[in-house]
Amino acid sequence: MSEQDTPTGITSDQALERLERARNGGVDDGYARRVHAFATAAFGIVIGAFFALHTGLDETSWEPTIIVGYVAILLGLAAWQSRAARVMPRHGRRMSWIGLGCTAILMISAVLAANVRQAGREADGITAGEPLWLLVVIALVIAAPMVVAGILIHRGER
Amino acid sequence: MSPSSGAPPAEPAQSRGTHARHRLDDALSSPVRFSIAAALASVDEAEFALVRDRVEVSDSVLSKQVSTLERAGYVKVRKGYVGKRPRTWLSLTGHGRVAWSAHLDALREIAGA
Repeated sequence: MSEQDTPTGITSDQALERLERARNGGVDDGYARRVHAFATAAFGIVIGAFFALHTGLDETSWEPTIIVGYVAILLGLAAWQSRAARVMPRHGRRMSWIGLGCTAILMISAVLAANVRQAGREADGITAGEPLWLLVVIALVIAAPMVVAGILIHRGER
Repeated sequence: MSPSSGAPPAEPAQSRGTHARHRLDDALSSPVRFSIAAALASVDEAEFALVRDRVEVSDSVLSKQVSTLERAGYVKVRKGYVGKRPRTWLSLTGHGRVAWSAHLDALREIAGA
Protein backbone atom coordinates (compact mmCIF):
# COMPACT_ATOMS: atom_id res chain seq x y z
CA MET A 1 0.00 0.00 0.00
CA SER A 2 1.44 3.38 -0.98
CA GLU A 3 1.31 6.41 1.28
CA GLN A 4 -1.28 7.98 -1.04
CA ASP A 5 -3.56 4.99 -0.58
CA THR A 6 -3.89 5.52 3.12
CA PRO A 7 -5.54 8.41 4.95
CA THR A 8 -3.10 8.03 7.85
CA GLY A 9 -0.07 9.73 6.30
CA ILE A 10 1.95 6.59 6.93
CA THR A 11 1.42 3.11 5.59
CA SER A 12 0.75 0.11 7.75
CA ASP A 13 4.22 -1.20 6.83
CA GLN A 14 5.80 2.04 8.05
CA ALA A 15 3.78 1.83 11.24
CA LEU A 16 4.99 -1.74 11.76
CA GLU A 17 8.58 -0.68 11.13
CA ARG A 18 8.27 2.08 13.75
CA LEU A 19 6.76 -0.32 16.24
CA GLU A 20 9.67 -2.68 15.65
CA ARG A 21 12.09 0.21 16.19
CA ALA A 22 10.30 1.11 19.42
CA ARG A 23 10.57 -2.50 20.63
CA ASN A 24 14.29 -2.72 19.95
CA GLY A 25 15.32 0.84 20.74
CA GLY A 26 15.57 0.66 24.53
CA VAL A 27 18.82 1.36 26.38
CA ASP A 28 18.05 -1.03 29.23
CA ASP A 29 20.84 -3.55 29.63
CA GLY A 30 21.57 -6.53 31.82
CA TYR A 31 24.78 -5.05 33.20
CA ALA A 32 23.11 -1.92 34.63
CA ARG A 33 20.35 -4.08 36.03
CA ARG A 34 22.91 -6.34 37.75
CA VAL A 35 24.83 -3.34 39.14
CA HIS A 36 21.73 -1.77 40.70
CA ALA A 37 20.43 -5.13 41.92
CA PHE A 38 23.75 -6.01 43.56
CA ALA A 39 24.18 -2.54 45.09
CA THR A 40 20.64 -2.52 46.52
CA ALA A 41 21.01 -5.98 48.05
CA ALA A 42 24.49 -5.13 49.34
CA PHE A 43 23.21 -1.95 51.06
CA GLY A 44 20.66 -4.06 52.92
CA ILE A 45 23.22 -6.68 53.95
CA VAL A 46 25.68 -4.00 55.13
CA ILE A 47 22.97 -2.25 57.17
CA GLY A 48 21.89 -5.57 58.72
CA ALA A 49 25.49 -6.56 59.46
CA PHE A 50 26.13 -3.16 61.03
CA PHE A 51 23.22 -3.66 63.41
CA ALA A 52 24.45 -7.11 64.45
CA LEU A 53 28.09 -6.05 64.90
CA HIS A 54 27.27 -2.77 66.61
CA THR A 55 24.84 -4.39 69.03
CA GLY A 56 27.08 -7.40 69.68
CA LEU A 57 30.21 -5.31 70.20
CA ASP A 58 28.57 -2.33 71.91
CA GLU A 59 30.85 -0.36 74.26
CA THR A 60 33.96 -2.28 73.18
CA SER A 61 37.09 -0.96 71.49
CA TRP A 62 35.68 -2.23 68.17
CA GLU A 63 32.82 0.25 68.14
CA PRO A 64 34.62 3.17 66.37
CA THR A 65 36.11 0.78 63.82
CA ILE A 66 32.68 -0.67 63.06
CA ILE A 67 31.13 2.77 62.60
CA VAL A 68 33.95 4.05 60.36
CA GLY A 69 33.93 0.82 58.33
CA TYR A 70 30.16 0.98 57.96
CA VAL A 71 30.19 4.55 56.64
CA ALA A 72 33.16 3.83 54.34
CA ILE A 73 31.50 0.74 52.83
CA LEU A 74 28.20 2.58 52.25
CA LEU A 75 29.96 5.53 50.59
CA GLY A 76 32.14 3.21 48.49
CA LEU A 77 29.14 1.20 47.40
CA ALA A 78 27.21 4.35 46.43
CA ALA A 79 30.19 5.69 44.48
CA TRP A 80 30.68 2.40 42.63
CA GLN A 81 26.98 2.17 41.80
CA SER A 82 26.85 5.67 40.32
CA ARG A 83 30.02 5.11 38.26
CA ALA A 84 29.33 1.57 37.06
CA ALA A 85 25.84 1.98 35.62
CA ARG A 86 24.83 4.52 33.00
CA VAL A 87 21.16 3.57 33.18
CA MET A 88 18.62 3.30 35.98
CA PRO A 89 16.37 0.35 35.08
CA ARG A 90 12.63 0.94 34.87
CA HIS A 91 11.12 1.16 38.39
CA GLY A 92 14.62 0.53 39.81
CA ARG A 93 14.76 3.74 41.81
CA ARG A 94 11.30 3.24 43.28
CA MET A 95 12.08 -0.34 44.31
CA SER A 96 15.38 0.73 45.88
CA TRP A 97 13.71 3.46 47.91
CA ILE A 98 10.88 1.18 49.05
CA GLY A 99 13.44 -1.44 50.09
CA LEU A 100 15.54 1.16 51.88
CA GLY A 101 12.48 2.58 53.65
CA CYS A 102 11.41 -0.85 54.92
CA THR A 103 14.96 -1.71 55.96
CA ALA A 104 15.26 1.63 57.81
CA ILE A 105 11.98 1.02 59.66
CA LEU A 106 13.12 -2.48 60.67
CA MET A 107 16.53 -1.14 61.72
CA ILE A 108 15.00 1.58 63.94
CA SER A 109 12.56 -0.93 65.43
CA ALA A 110 15.40 -3.37 66.12
CA VAL A 111 17.54 -0.69 67.78
CA LEU A 112 14.63 0.41 69.98
CA ALA A 113 13.84 -3.20 70.93
CA ALA A 114 17.50 -3.94 71.66
CA ASN A 115 17.74 -0.87 73.91
CA VAL A 116 14.59 -1.84 75.82
CA ARG A 117 15.88 -5.41 76.29
CA GLN A 118 19.28 -4.14 77.40
CA ALA A 119 17.66 -1.83 79.97
CA GLY A 120 15.65 -4.79 81.23
CA ARG A 121 18.75 -6.96 81.55
CA GLU A 122 20.65 -4.21 83.37
CA ALA A 123 17.74 -3.79 85.79
CA ASP A 124 17.89 -7.53 86.44
CA GLY A 125 21.68 -7.38 86.90
CA ILE A 126 22.37 -9.54 83.85
CA THR A 127 25.61 -8.59 82.09
CA ALA A 128 25.41 -10.90 79.06
CA GLY A 129 24.43 -9.35 75.73
CA GLU A 130 22.04 -10.65 73.07
CA PRO A 131 22.77 -14.19 71.82
CA LEU A 132 24.65 -14.31 68.50
CA TRP A 133 21.94 -16.33 66.75
CA LEU A 134 19.35 -13.67 67.57
CA LEU A 135 21.57 -10.89 66.21
CA VAL A 136 22.10 -12.85 62.99
CA VAL A 137 18.37 -13.46 62.57
CA ILE A 138 17.58 -9.76 63.16
CA ALA A 139 20.33 -8.75 60.71
CA LEU A 140 18.79 -11.01 58.05
CA VAL A 141 15.34 -9.56 58.69
CA ILE A 142 16.70 -6.01 58.40
CA ALA A 143 18.49 -6.86 55.15
CA ALA A 144 15.54 -8.74 53.64
CA PRO A 145 13.59 -5.81 52.10
CA MET A 146 16.63 -4.53 50.22
CA VAL A 147 17.64 -8.02 49.14
CA VAL A 148 14.11 -8.57 47.81
CA ALA A 149 14.25 -5.15 46.09
CA GLY A 150 17.56 -6.17 44.51
CA ILE A 151 16.05 -9.41 43.24
CA LEU A 152 13.07 -7.52 41.78
CA ILE A 153 15.38 -5.02 40.07
CA HIS A 154 17.39 -7.91 38.61
CA ARG A 155 14.29 -9.64 37.34
CA GLY A 156 12.94 -6.38 35.92
CA GLU A 157 10.16 -6.52 33.35
CA ARG A 158 11.36 -9.65 31.61
CA MET B 1 -32.91 24.35 11.72
CA SER B 2 -32.97 20.64 11.19
CA PRO B 3 -29.81 18.87 10.01
CA SER B 4 -31.49 17.93 6.74
CA SER B 5 -32.56 21.43 5.68
CA GLY B 6 -29.86 22.22 3.15
CA ALA B 7 -26.88 21.55 5.41
CA PRO B 8 -24.22 19.11 4.17
CA PRO B 9 -24.57 15.63 5.58
CA ALA B 10 -22.69 15.02 8.77
CA GLU B 11 -19.18 13.69 8.26
CA PRO B 12 -18.46 10.18 9.41
CA ALA B 13 -17.08 10.12 12.92
CA GLN B 14 -13.70 8.88 11.66
CA SER B 15 -13.00 11.99 9.59
CA ARG B 16 -13.87 14.29 12.50
CA GLY B 17 -10.78 13.24 14.43
CA THR B 18 -11.22 9.75 15.80
CA HIS B 19 -8.98 8.10 13.21
CA ALA B 20 -5.71 6.76 14.57
CA ARG B 21 -3.70 9.27 12.54
CA HIS B 22 -5.05 12.08 14.72
CA ARG B 23 -3.50 10.40 17.73
CA LEU B 24 0.00 10.35 16.25
CA ASP B 25 1.97 12.86 18.29
CA ASP B 26 3.83 15.46 16.22
CA ALA B 27 6.55 15.76 18.86
CA LEU B 28 7.25 12.02 18.57
CA SER B 29 6.89 11.66 14.81
CA SER B 30 10.40 12.87 13.96
CA PRO B 31 12.66 9.81 13.58
CA VAL B 32 15.26 11.09 16.05
CA ARG B 33 12.73 12.11 18.70
CA PHE B 34 10.95 8.79 18.20
CA SER B 35 14.25 6.97 18.83
CA ILE B 36 15.00 9.09 21.91
CA ALA B 37 11.59 8.28 23.39
CA ALA B 38 12.04 4.59 22.51
CA ALA B 39 15.44 4.60 24.24
CA LEU B 40 14.09 6.23 27.40
CA ALA B 41 10.81 4.32 27.61
CA SER B 42 12.48 1.16 28.90
CA VAL B 43 14.39 2.86 31.74
CA ASP B 44 13.85 5.33 34.58
CA GLU B 45 16.84 7.39 33.51
CA ALA B 46 19.79 7.13 31.10
CA GLU B 47 23.00 9.05 30.56
CA PHE B 48 23.01 11.55 27.71
CA ALA B 49 26.06 9.90 26.10
CA LEU B 50 24.45 6.47 26.15
CA VAL B 51 21.30 7.78 24.44
CA ARG B 52 23.46 9.64 21.90
CA ASP B 53 25.32 6.41 21.04
CA ARG B 54 22.12 4.41 20.89
CA VAL B 55 20.30 6.89 18.65
CA GLU B 56 23.49 7.42 16.61
CA VAL B 57 23.43 11.21 16.45
CA SER B 58 25.85 13.96 17.44
CA ASP B 59 25.75 15.75 20.78
CA SER B 60 24.29 18.87 19.18
CA VAL B 61 21.52 17.02 17.33
CA LEU B 62 20.56 15.13 20.48
CA SER B 63 20.62 18.35 22.51
CA LYS B 64 18.33 20.10 20.05
CA GLN B 65 15.84 17.25 19.85
CA VAL B 66 15.87 16.77 23.63
CA SER B 67 15.12 20.48 24.03
CA THR B 68 12.08 20.07 21.78
CA LEU B 69 10.88 17.11 23.86
CA GLU B 70 11.61 19.03 27.06
CA ARG B 71 9.52 21.99 25.85
CA ALA B 72 6.67 19.55 25.12
CA GLY B 73 7.00 18.31 28.71
CA TYR B 74 7.95 14.81 27.59
CA VAL B 75 11.57 14.64 28.74
CA LYS B 76 13.29 15.74 31.93
CA VAL B 77 16.96 16.69 31.91
CA ARG B 78 19.01 16.31 35.09
CA LYS B 79 22.55 17.53 35.44
CA GLY B 80 24.98 16.32 38.05
CA TYR B 81 28.40 14.89 38.70
CA VAL B 82 29.90 11.43 38.88
CA GLY B 83 33.04 12.08 40.89
CA LYS B 84 34.36 15.30 39.38
CA ARG B 85 32.96 14.69 35.91
CA PRO B 86 29.76 16.43 34.85
CA ARG B 87 27.01 14.14 33.65
CA THR B 88 23.59 14.69 32.12
CA TRP B 89 20.75 12.23 32.59
CA LEU B 90 17.59 12.05 30.53
CA SER B 91 14.26 10.58 31.51
CA LEU B 92 10.71 10.48 30.19
CA THR B 93 8.22 12.38 32.33
CA GLY B 94 4.89 10.85 33.31
CA HIS B 95 3.27 13.04 30.65
CA GLY B 96 5.86 11.81 28.14
CA ARG B 97 5.14 8.17 28.96
CA VAL B 98 1.40 8.70 28.44
CA ALA B 99 2.08 10.44 25.09
CA TRP B 100 4.50 7.67 24.04
CA SER B 101 2.00 4.98 24.93
CA ALA B 102 -0.78 6.77 22.99
CA HIS B 103 1.55 7.22 20.02
CA LEU B 104 2.37 3.50 19.98
CA ASP B 105 -1.33 2.62 20.29
CA ALA B 106 -2.08 4.79 17.27
CA LEU B 107 0.73 3.11 15.31
CA ARG B 108 -0.61 -0.32 16.26
CA GLU B 109 -4.04 0.68 15.04
CA ILE B 110 -2.65 1.94 11.74
CA ALA B 111 -0.57 -1.21 11.38
CA GLY B 112 -3.60 -3.31 12.16
CA ALA B 113 -1.52 -5.14 14.73
